[in-house]
Amino acid sequence: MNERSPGTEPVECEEITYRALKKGWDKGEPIPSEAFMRRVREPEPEKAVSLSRRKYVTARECRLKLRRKFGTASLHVGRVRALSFGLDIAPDPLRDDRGAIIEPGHCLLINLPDPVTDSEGAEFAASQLVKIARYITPNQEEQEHRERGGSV
Amino acid sequence: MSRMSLKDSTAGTYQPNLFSSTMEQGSLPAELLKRTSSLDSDKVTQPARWWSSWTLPAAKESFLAFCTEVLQYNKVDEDDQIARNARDAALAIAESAYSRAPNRWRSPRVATDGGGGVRLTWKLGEKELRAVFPADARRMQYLYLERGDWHSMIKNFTAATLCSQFDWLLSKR
Repeated sequence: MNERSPGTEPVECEEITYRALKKGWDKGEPIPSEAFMRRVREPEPEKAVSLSRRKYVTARECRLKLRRKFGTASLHVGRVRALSFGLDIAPDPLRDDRGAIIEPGHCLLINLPDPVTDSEGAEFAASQLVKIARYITPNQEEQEHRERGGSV
Repeated sequence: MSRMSLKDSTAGTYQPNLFSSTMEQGSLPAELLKRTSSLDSDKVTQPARWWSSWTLPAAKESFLAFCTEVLQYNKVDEDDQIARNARDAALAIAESAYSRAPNRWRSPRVATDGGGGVRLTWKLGEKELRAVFPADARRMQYLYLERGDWHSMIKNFTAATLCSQFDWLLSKR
């Protein structure tokens, strides 16, 4: 039997993914554009933006995974793919030193424009993603966490 | 016109002797030291009110709060640090823009590009203005303007250009 390990299966259009957010504008504009831009690193920017798959991770778990995260935004995978940039979301489960999957919900937002060589494209793509992203309010986060019996 | 020097600002707060005689020297450093960098009061939740009821003292307050936030940023966010040259470039342009037109100054949202660069964002309604100062001095700083699906970019911008974009942001066009 050739069963896929959890997290290696393709990300379906119906799936929801989460992105942990830094401090936003205010309560009315909580999702900053840089949430959906590749981070500038030397010698070249990171290849993709990390997301978490809702089927494995709650919004709270996503938010608390990294320090000093202020909230979470959700992205509907189908809507991301429908944008005109060729954007996609691919599975990228994290593994330990021995190759065992330790974070099946990790996935990547790929094909984002390079923020160094195509700054304008990267800014515009980020704006389009902000428009389709939905901020998860503390109440929604709490409700989901309760319903799914999250671990955090 | 009040002028503020950016040199020797590595300690994270402005020093009294860096301010000109026209800028209430005695009160400013203490005033700055008392600030936190969260600046919630500087980003009120009703943009219309924020942009319309504006006075020069409020602009000065806002500008000083912005400077403090930039200077304190690395103490608040240990994961995303601002590089010194990006910080200095951002403060220099902002200072010059504020000096040219203090009544048009509004505090931006401050963030990094993940690699030491500074990202400043102003937003009003559907208009958004982003000023990006890369950490790598070989890369050009740029302004990104957006309104709905329209967008534009200005590379290697000056303070005068930033001021004119404040006009665009504030205008009803």
